[in-house]
Amino acid sequence: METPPNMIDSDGIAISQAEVDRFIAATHSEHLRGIPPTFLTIYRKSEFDLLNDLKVNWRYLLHAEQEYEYFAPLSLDKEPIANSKVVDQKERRRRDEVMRFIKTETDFVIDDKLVAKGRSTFVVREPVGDA
Amino acid sequence: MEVGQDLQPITRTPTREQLRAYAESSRDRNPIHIDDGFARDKAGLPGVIVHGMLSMAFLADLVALNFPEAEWELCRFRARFRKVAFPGEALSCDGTVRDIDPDGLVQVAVSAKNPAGEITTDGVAYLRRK
Repeated sequence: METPPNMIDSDGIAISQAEVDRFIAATHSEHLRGIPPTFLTIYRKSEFDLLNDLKVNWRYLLHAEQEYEYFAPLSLDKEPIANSKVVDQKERRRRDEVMRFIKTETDFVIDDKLVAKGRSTFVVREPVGDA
Repeated sequence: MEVGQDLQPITRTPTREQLRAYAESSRDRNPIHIDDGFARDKAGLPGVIVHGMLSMAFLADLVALNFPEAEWELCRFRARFRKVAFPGEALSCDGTVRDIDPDGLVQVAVSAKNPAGEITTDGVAYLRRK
C-alpha cells in the first residue's frame, strides 16, 4: 500500500480571507463572492485518516460522489472541526480486480454548532495481485 | 425563473498549473493530480487527472453566475464524478432548473462535459431565495 506523503494538512487552519482568496484563484472562480461552497474540502483530513485506517491504496482511489448540506453560513476567522465516519462499505470481486465502495459522512462544526454535513463516496479499484 | 429554464453556461479549461495550485489550496496533494509519472506508472492513468472537487468548484461557479449569492442561498449541493477529466480539456458547464417546490426550493441539475460531449461531472444544487 502506498500513502502519498503530506497529502493533506488542514489541522489548525481557520477560514481566513487569504485562504478564501487563494481557493477562488485556484479554482478560477469568477462569480463567487463569499466563502465558496466547496471550500470545506480543505477540512477533509478526518476523512482521509479514515481511508488510511481502512488501508486504502491511494493510487487506485477515485472520488466518485460528493455532497454538502449547509445548515448555517460559514464565517471568516473560524476553524471548522470535521468529524468523519464510514457509513457504508461494499466490496465486489471480479476476476482481475477488487472494487471497494466506501461512503463517509463528515460533520463540520463551528462553535459547537453543526454548520454543514459532507457525504463522500470513494471507489478503489485494485488489481487482484495488489489487493 | 421557471422549470425547464436553461442556465447561462460557462466553460473552464483546467491546466496542469491550475491542478498544482488547487492541490496546494485544497490540501489534496494526491499525486494522481500533479505527478504525470505517478499517474501513468503507478495508477494506470494516461496522465494526471483533474480533481473531482475542482470540477465541482466549476459547477459552483456556474450556479453562482445564475443564482447570485446576494440573492440566493445554496442549501445543498451534490456532484457525481462520472468520468475522469484531463488538463487541457475544455469543460462546458451548463444546467437546467429541474423543479421548484411549493416552499420555493429550487432544484437545478448541472453538468460538465468534455469536448467529446461526455459528462464528466453532474450534480444537483438546491437553492432558496434569501
